[in-house]
Amino acid sequence: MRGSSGRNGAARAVVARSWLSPLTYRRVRVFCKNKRGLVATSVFVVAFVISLFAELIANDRPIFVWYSGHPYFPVFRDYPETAFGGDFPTYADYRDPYVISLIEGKGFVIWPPIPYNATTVITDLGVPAPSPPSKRNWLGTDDQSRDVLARVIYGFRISVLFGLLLAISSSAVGILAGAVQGYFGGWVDLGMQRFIEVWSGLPVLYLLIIMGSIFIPGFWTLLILMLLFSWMTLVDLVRAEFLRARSLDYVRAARALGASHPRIMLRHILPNALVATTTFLPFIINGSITTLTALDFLGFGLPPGSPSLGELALQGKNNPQAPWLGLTAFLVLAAALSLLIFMGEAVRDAFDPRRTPP
Amino acid sequence: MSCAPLLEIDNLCVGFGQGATAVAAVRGLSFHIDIGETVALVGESGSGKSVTALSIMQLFHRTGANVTCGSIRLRGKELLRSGEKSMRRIRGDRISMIFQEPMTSLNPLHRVARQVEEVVRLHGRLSGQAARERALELLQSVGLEDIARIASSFPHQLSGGQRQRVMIAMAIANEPDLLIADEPTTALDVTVQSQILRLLKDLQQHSKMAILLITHDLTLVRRFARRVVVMTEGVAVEQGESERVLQQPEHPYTIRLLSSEPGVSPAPEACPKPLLEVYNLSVKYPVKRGLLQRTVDWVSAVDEVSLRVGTRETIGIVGESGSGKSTLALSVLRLIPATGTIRFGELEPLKDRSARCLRAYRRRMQVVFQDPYGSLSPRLSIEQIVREGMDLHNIGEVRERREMAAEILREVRLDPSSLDRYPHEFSGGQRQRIAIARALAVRPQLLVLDEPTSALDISVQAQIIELLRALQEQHGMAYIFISHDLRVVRAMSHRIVVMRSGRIVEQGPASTILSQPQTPYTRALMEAAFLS
Repeated sequence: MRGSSGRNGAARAVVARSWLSPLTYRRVRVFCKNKRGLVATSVFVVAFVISLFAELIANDRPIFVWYSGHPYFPVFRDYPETAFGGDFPTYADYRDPYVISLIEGKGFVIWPPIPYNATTVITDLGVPAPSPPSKRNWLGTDDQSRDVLARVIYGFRISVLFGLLLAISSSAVGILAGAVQGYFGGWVDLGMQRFIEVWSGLPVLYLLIIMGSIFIPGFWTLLILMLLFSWMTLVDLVRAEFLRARSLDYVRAARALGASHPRIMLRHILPNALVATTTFLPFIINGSITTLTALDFLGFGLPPGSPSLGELALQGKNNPQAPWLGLTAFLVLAAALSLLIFMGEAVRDAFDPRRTPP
Repeated sequence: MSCAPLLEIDNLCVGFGQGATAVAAVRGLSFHIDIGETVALVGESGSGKSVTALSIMQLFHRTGANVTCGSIRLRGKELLRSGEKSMRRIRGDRISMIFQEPMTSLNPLHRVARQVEEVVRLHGRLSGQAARERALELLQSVGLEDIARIASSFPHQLSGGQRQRVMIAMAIANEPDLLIADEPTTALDVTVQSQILRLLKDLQQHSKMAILLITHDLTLVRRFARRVVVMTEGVAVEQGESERVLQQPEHPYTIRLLSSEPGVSPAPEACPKPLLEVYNLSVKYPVKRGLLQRTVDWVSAVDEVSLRVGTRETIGIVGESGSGKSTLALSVLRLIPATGTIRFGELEPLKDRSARCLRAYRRRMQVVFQDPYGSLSPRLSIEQIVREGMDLHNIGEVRERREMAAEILREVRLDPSSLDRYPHEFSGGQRQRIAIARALAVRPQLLVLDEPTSALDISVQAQIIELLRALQEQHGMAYIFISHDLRVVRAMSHRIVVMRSGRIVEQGPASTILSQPQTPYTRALMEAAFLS
């Protein structure tokens, strides 16, 4: 037994020295063995990275303009119309056929694959909005004749970013609160526990609605508002880990060595409590996205006009004659949430000590 | 014996896993047990003793182990190929088993009487009132007093020894032919240990029951088993009459096992200059009652204890669990609040509560705990663990610390290349060495060793004791050595302190205490340890 563990240990140690700790390496291996999780992760990451470059994919400005021997990058910079030989020193409107004809007289234009922004109102639809999917608008247009595909790309990005930021910040607050409670115990623990019980009893939705009518809900105000009520998820988990760990011998040994409380919490206990936290992260992101979508659907979310999946779903509800709206919102949401759940499952299994890499 | 053996095990092989990753736990084991005989199966952890016991009982459900070859016959009937249904008739009826851990082997939600009755009923012998009476009779037969109270208690209301007796009552309920006792006394206090073993012996004489005693403790074998099978790495290396095997071992492994029992050895000279002085140290816990958790009483875990540790001296503290040994250590280490006086040179950490004083105190005194698995953080590399003390106390230049950590690993006889590895890659003995290295990193003058060898195999135990002795000589450290095992304490200590219920009942030079124990408690401890 000792012989075999020595051999494995040696092999693993080589890997550890190269870049990963053996434990992490083992987890990565378990994670990679989960085909569904791996595919879900890659699809999700690819989709998210693509949506991060949404401006280059769906935009009402050209990516590149070649005009009289000079390159222009309208996506990144604003140029006055006069730069292309126009009459007014205002910013060039590239949707104006006149501007385009000016440019194409002395050069050429490269458009993104989808020549609409999330807020571009298409004026020359020919049919009343919402218009069904067509060659120009692959997923049709919404009731304000904006391209649905463009809105979906921007909406997906904002949802995932919001979810990520909310999950990370609420985890950070939750871990801090849980760590303090679990480590110090006693009155600190008792007081904070009671506070959390009261706080989590507040009717979050109504508060958000009330707050929404006081502030103009932007991305950041909404994030902070929701953070106020979402940080409790991890508290119990982290608190339990710290309660357990603070009486373990390695924590005692660290105290006997003279380590300070913050150092013990950060260096000795937190890494051991992070497993449970990491396992929860994809599910927290999922919850955050769902909450944001629900708020947008109810009209209490992001400011009017901003691209969002919830708003698209609302349009689908209001326009039953245009099923592509509702269907798109449903499919994109369902796909994103399922991918995150599959990712979460794979992460959870990878951190499960009872699973060994097959 | 002229009659056929009760149990025959022939060329048994058990493996874990399948295919290329399979690990053989037992490899071609053969032995037999006669009717009414006690056979001891001795070996260190990982030697395959418990796996053998489980394969006799066919209790492999969901453990991933499977028998790959061989046969196990009970009175000539093959057990390995009998189905689950017929095995269920044999388990608990013809063969029963008691486990090491009396804390977890009883169902916490059922009263004791009900659990014993269940065994009686399951095998269809008795029912109703008769089963109840039989259960009480059984509890009586395992030497429990105050039967009525115990029968209606829940397991958590009983002590470890009482629980183990209840387990034995359940095991013998159907008068089995064979009782498998898997480390039956390891989790118990020394004085309780010998009572339990005496009980087993009595029961055996009454009922002609054979016992397979699985243990790592050679003194138990000497006293209780007629024959012994020595196992290592899944193979029986030696078997025979226990007298013969223990007196004239033939196989090198048996010789090594026997020689690693801690012997009496003169420890290096101690200097009487006092290093640590403790006066009237008390640790009290409040007893809280009622809705408002008012403090109604105080329980003293350590009660007015005074002791002195000299430079280079080893003080052995012995006592049963709950006697306050560990609490004393923790309070001397200033890890739990205490009252009294502690004087360490010019430092008086209970009087001067400044951070500076505590810091200086921490640097002079370090600790090694019992459980080598819980005492190292699984997320820190060995370098981080060993360096922690140097980083905290600014010992050496930052860039030299890695080399210093490597040097300390060499001192505890570990390969310095271990620095980048993580605790889970090491065995129990190696982890204990790492824990010692962590303590040594700040160059303490006093090392508190809280049962440092109790969780280790006997041969590893001997190595750790050897290492501790060498380190003491090299660095001139003083030790406070806490153990429930008098044999280990005898091997280490200059002076011995005997504790019971938070008080010191006896203290003095080791030789005096061991040759002329003054109190009956010390005598009981000694009797249990040396089984004299």
